[in-house]
Amino acid sequence: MPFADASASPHEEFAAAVERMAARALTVLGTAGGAVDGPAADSATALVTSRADLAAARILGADLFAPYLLAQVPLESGHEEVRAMAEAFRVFPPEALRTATAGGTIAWRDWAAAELLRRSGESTRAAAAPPPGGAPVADPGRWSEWSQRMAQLSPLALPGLDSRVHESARRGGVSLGRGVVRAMLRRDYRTAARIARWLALGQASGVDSPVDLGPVLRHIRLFGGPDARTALDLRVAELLAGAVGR
Amino acid sequence: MFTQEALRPTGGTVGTAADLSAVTSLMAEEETRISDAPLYTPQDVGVGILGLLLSPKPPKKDR
Amino acid sequence: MSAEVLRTAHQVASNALHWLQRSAPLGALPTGATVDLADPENPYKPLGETALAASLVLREGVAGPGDLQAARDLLAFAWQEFDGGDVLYERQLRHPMLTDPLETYAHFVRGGYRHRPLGELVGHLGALDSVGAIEMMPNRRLAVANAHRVVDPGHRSDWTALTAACWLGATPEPWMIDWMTAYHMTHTVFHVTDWGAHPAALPSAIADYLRLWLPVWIDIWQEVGQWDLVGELLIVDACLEEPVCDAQGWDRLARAQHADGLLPRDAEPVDEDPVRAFKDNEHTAVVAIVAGTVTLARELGVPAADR
Repeated sequence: MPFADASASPHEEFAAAVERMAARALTVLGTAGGAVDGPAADSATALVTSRADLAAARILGADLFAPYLLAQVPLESGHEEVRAMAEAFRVFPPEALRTATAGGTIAWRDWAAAELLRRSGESTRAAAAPPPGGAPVADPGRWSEWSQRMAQLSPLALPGLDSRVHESARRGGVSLGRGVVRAMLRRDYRTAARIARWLALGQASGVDSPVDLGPVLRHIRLFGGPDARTALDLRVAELLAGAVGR
Repeated sequence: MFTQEALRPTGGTVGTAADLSAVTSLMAEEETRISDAPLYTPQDVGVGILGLLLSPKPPKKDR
Repeated sequence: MSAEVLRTAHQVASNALHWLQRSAPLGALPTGATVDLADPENPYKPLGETALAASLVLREGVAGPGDLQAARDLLAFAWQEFDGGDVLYERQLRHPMLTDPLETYAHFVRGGYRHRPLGELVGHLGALDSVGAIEMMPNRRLAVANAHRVVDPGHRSDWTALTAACWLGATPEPWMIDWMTAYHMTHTVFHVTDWGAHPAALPSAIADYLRLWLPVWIDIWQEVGQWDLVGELLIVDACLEEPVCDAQGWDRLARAQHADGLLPRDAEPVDEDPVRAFKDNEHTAVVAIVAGTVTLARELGVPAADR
């Protein structure tokens, strides 16, 4: 199916692939709240059939495994997602990405995906990398920038992962709450859903959210548009917050 | 199942600069550049004048 | 709050005050005016707002001598425009169910002026069940209650019930607020605290709610250049027992303010016609003056109601 249009830029091509892959993960999440019994239920088409699909796996990162983590099904090296991610790490190695742009965001996202790969038994060079230093720290005085960074780190907001980022999320509830409200008022529902994931994760482990999540998530569902990546972030947040999906 | 062949890009493992840039920008997406924060709307005017003595003047332009 | 922010607040307010003083003649009532409420260009309202700003500058006394004199002059000018209160009195006699004569009169009382017959009139009308039950926005009802309190400190109102009836009283989802609701919210705080004279009068649940969400509201509206609203949100912050906002709001206002002291209400270009420019942006000058005054007062001293 996906023969890349020769005139599409990598960005357009990869963005389309991420949408498809996010939609696929949503399908899995949608059935019985994320229960997965093994290789993906939808095996009519292969998970990865192109280079763009590999890029999509890298881009989604840990979210590719969200259906497993949310259903508390252990990842195994035989799982299609695991094989796809391992291959994606070979084709787009972390070192290459880190030279393309500065910042801890890419490093942390890589760490999350690599850590989950490691647990599955799949060995990659990247899996050996320890959590990077300089995690963004919750600073109430900089709640806006910090919460936007946390939005970029939303794939880390999954049960079963823990790190200095998760710690700062637990301490930064007020800043996360402000970040969500800001995004909602700017009508940036994608960012709102991503920040809400952190609040939902916190709530799931007993940390109160300064803003009531139920109405926020319902609002994003109704106003957030058709975008599959946003819907995936939203679905994860809903499941974490204990909201019952449709 | 996917085949190994389909995954090997032509010209080596690591992608072009454009590829890498696309991956990183899609990994670390920025918030929307333009805010869509709520602004004055004309239907607020009637309420404003009748409801508040100390209320702001409605702006010239309709929104 | 840092000394630098206080300096900025003071500067913005002072510049706005002197712009307002220089421009005030543009807001004079037309001669032989029978004021038409339906006219949105009605100069009556801005005169009341000018009196409000001036009365607060005098009440707090945190301004320099030049600013204090400007405030005295502005208040005297406005009082003269109202014929020493006679205009308000005539208006109230003609329209006994209107509350704006009382609301306007209160600013002059705060500034030390009295009109005995008007005082008696508003006292009588304020005691009528009918007037007390007039259909009006909840935050407007708070305005009336505060005006009564300023004119007659012995006047009693059910502040708890009045506040609970406002949007802010529900402490609702902070992300479900629009432009007009934001103004209703700011006015709720203004009237409950009498423009920062009684910070403790704000219920603690509301104060806590505002400390959480004010920074967000200031952030989103300064981003789109809504200077008038940002100024009102800064007043709200200064009305809290413990203000929460950082320098961002004041810095943005300072940058938006013109060299002559005009503070634009929003990001739209200011009209080249000075009369138009005054009418469009006079409210924002009032907001800036009040914001700076109450901000300094909160930092420097004892709330007015406790002196």
